[in-house]
Amino acid sequence: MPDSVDYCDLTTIAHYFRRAVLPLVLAALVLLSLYSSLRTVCLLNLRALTRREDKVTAYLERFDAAKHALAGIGEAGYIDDKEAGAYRKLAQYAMPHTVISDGTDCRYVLGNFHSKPAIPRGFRIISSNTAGAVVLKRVSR
Amino acid sequence: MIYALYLFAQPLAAGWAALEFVYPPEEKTDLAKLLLRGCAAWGLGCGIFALLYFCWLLSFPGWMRLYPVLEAAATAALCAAWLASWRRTPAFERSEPSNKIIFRILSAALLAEILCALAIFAHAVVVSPHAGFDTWAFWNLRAKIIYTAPEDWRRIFAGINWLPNHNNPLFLPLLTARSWTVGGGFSPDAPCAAGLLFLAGSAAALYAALSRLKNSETGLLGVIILLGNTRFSWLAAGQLADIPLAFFMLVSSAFLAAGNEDSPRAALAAGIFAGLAAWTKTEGAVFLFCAGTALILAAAVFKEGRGRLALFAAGAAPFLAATAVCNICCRTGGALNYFQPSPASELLWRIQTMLGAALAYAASVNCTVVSAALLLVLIPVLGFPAEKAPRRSIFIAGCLLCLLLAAYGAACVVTPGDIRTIVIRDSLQRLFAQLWPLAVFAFLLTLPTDIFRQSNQA
Repeated sequence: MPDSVDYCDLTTIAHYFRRAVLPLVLAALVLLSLYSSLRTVCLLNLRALTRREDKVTAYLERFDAAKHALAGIGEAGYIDDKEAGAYRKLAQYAMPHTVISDGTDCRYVLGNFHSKPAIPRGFRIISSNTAGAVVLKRVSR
Repeated sequence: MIYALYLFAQPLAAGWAALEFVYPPEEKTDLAKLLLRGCAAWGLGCGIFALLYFCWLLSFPGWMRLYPVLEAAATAALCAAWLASWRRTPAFERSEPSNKIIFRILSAALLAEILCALAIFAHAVVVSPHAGFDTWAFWNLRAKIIYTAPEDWRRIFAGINWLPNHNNPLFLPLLTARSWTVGGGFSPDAPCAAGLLFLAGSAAALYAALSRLKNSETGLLGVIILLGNTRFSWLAAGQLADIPLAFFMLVSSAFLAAGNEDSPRAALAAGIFAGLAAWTKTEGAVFLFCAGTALILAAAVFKEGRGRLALFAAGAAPFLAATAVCNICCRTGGALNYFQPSPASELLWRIQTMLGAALAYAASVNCTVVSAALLLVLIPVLGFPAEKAPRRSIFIAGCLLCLLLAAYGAACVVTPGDIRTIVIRDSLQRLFAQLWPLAVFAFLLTLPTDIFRQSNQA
């Protein structure tokens, strides 16, 4: 009788169950992890490595001349011929030493034009580049 | 490469010397203990240098060119103090794996995982060196401001409050600006190097913590599962603060979980890393609170004294003070902004939206979610009744994980943050990455100690 009690002991059953199932679970985890990593590597777009189309790098270059023109200027306005949002944030990232505010209230204004620059009344260009980034200075109200 | 040196060698040397005073080594050591100490030392070194840089920035903003000299002098002073207090080298014990065949198989799998993680990281960094919008607009912009305008940074920070998340803590921007100051110029390589080092640090710390509390096979398994979540490598390459946060949370948990075997000073070390987590990201403040609660619960369950909690608080204090000073300087409330409750009428809607987003995320079945489900459901069920499991460690790690999940969920529901599906999905992915090392650590702790032992030894 004592043998049958041992045989039915739940702890013993759990022990053998764990011994049988747990290695399978761990093996599944290892295989799943390897599959996940290898699949991600296979899906990497290798063409992107040669294209180098990083928008942020392009914008840092675009604002390079404007950055030097605005050196020492505490705050500058910002105008854009596209939806402002992200471009103003990129301009701020390119010019960390100057606070870039929206609008034309400041003495200096950074213009970010993707087509022919539309200069607001009362401003003149003090720096520009072929990419369309211009620095404007207020000459009259 | 040069930034990896500035970000690795110097913090490691300074942190190693400082850790000797905070958490003296035991008489005997092994590879796992040395590796965990190395990871902790490097993390502490990064914290010390970020703090030193911040103090210098506040005191002498016009003399930032002299900062590398100060840093070199501080490293030399710490190393000299360590050498002066040197007593004896701990005896090194070589530990053998319990099953050599499984150890070799797991090592080969780990090598494949490391190569994949490096490929993913390198691809992301080459394609997008400045990383995504969140990285350059939230973290690297503030690092650039501190680096380029050290005398004017507070005014500029106040002026850019139109940017989202402008109240994030400053540890990572300070560490990046410090790398540029020491390295001699702005380069996107510095935050990339930091991302790679924190990724490697998380993997090494997980291996060391599991090897120490269980065995080396469990350590290898942990790193394989950690890197199998490829989002973790993506986020590291994305230079976001989630990976440093995950690293500090893991190291703090490893010290908390090892607390009963070691001196109570482990709680002091755990406090330091919890403080660093709070200085890294707002979620780190939640971790600090949860870790303190887990310590109180462990003290009640395992009949421990309250001294550990005092040591934990003492460890966290310097970096919490730095967080508070940063918030005062930037005129933001930091984590306090999130303690404004949302209107009661919105609560039901917020709970529904949160649950819906979480279910939608879980339903987008991929390998990571499947392995997370396997971990979450099967291993505790199968492994928890193990006879030789370190029960206090499991209790602390499990408690931390449950408290963090509850706190994150409550924060999303109760506070007035934006919970539109597009935002919450992104947040869920990040929370998943933050908690992933801790989850792997907690659940692999529940494995029976002798699971990898060869059948003739069992």
